[in-house]
Amino acid sequence: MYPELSAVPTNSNDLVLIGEFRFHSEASGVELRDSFHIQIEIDDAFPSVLPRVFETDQKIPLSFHHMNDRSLCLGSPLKLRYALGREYSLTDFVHKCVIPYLHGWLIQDKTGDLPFGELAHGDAGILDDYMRIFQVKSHQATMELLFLAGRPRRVANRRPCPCNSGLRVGKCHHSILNRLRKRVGRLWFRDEHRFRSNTVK
Amino acid sequence: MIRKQNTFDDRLNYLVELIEIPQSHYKLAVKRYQSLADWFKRGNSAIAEFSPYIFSQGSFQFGTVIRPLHEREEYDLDLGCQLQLLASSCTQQQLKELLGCELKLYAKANNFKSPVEEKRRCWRLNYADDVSFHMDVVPAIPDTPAFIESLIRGGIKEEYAKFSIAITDTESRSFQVLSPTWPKSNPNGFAKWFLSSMQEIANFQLKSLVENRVYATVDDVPLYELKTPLQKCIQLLKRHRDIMFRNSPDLKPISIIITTLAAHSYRGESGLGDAMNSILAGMKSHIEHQSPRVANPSNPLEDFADKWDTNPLLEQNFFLWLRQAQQDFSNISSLDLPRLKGVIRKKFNVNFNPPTAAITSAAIPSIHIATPKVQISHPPAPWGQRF
Repeated sequence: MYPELSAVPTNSNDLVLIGEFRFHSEASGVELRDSFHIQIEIDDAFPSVLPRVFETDQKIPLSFHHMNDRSLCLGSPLKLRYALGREYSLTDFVHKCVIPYLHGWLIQDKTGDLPFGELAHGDAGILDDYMRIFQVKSHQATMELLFLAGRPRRVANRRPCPCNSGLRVGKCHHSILNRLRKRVGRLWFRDEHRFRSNTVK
Repeated sequence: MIRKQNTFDDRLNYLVELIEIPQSHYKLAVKRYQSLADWFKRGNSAIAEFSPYIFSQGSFQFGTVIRPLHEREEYDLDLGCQLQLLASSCTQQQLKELLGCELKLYAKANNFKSPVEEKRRCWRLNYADDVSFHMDVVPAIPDTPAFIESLIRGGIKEEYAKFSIAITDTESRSFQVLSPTWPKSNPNGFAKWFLSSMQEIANFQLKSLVENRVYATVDDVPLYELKTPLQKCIQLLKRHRDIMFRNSPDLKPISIIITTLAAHSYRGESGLGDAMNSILAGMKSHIEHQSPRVANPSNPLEDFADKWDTNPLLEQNFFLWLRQAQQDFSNISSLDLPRLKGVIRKKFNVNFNPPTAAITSAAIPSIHIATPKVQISHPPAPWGQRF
């Protein structure tokens, strides 16, 4: 499908694809055809670990969304996981995570507007995104729901709902939590909660 | 469908032309080693009495040499030099030195600029004229009848086993002492096996060379005079490998493994495209799960993939290369020409500008790979760690 991308010899168990990535995308009636030189690093633990993508020609300035290691910051971890589900192929990853990012940047470069919005940098941006996904109004409730998503369903459902509705989770946010657990996997939430608890001040 | 296969054949045939060496290089190689053979047989040669027999081995023997990546790079010409001596009467070291002395005299008599170099299993002579070669000469003696017998008992055909030789290796434990256990090799047995894997298609070419009186008998025809789909596929695969591993040559799959697996997988197809498809589909199934992973067909005790055991990265990179080759050759059959040119430039480092309409008109819509149109729905919003 992408004949210009190819594997490079490897010194580890990771797979690295490098080359010109030509794509054709459409969102809200806007159709684009373009190409970028990219490098995709696929960890040995794929699909549990998401691939990292680098744009090697530096067409996209570093001031646009990048990680500290200069890989493209494609979206918040939960949003990416939710888009991909537990079992996904590399093609799914490219289509659901990489192409939207490149499409978004191209539109912004031409018009100044980002079609799919953007998140604030750092932890605040992630929590804002999670807050929307969990449909709550505070970072504190978001962190508590993140914790509960990582707990078994029956245990979580007995707790009071962090959204301050006065109901228990089983009568309130359970359907959102169940949908997320099913799509992403409970243990991912457990690990993500541990990780965020350490980084969010 | 027929149209598509023809196009694939044409494209591959054209690509082979771009990486092929001129036939004159093979002739030059033969001339050079014949000159060495004459030197060994001259009146005051120290080895003439042992009936020295020189033969090429490796890609010059199989007719699968390709252009080096850089024009100024040297060709490796691998030779064997067999003397009629017995392991009971000389040591590996004595044989190596006996041949080494003669080679040094040869280099001196021919005003070689660089000295003869000693390598682990061979002597290296560096030619430096219009076509740069280095010639690696492996000293050898015939193997013992007992060993040849054991090969035959182990299932190797006599017509391959009888060519088995014993060679020298400075790292062999018995290098300096009289010992019946010498390292083994069998390049001529391997070459016979290699020919047998393409016998049917080779027969036609062999007969025509004899009928046209280029050679006296079929047995006299060197393999490099043939150009079978198997040989061409091996050339294409080696080139693809060379480019893919040009920045990490230590990890690249070795030619003898590619050659052996390709010959095992080839089913006598007359079309280059069909042959390539068979080879790429079949290579994996000829790799064993246990040692010997890729046995030398003329000596099952020798494992061409013996290094995979100690360095798993070599095995991993072999399969990485094979998967990439499968994809890239499939792209050659299906891409439209403008895009194909770019892909071939990257994967083979040659300019693909085919002259014939058969290849250029290949962009028929049914075989065109289109970049899929991706509909973006529920896209993630980009985020970032930078402040």
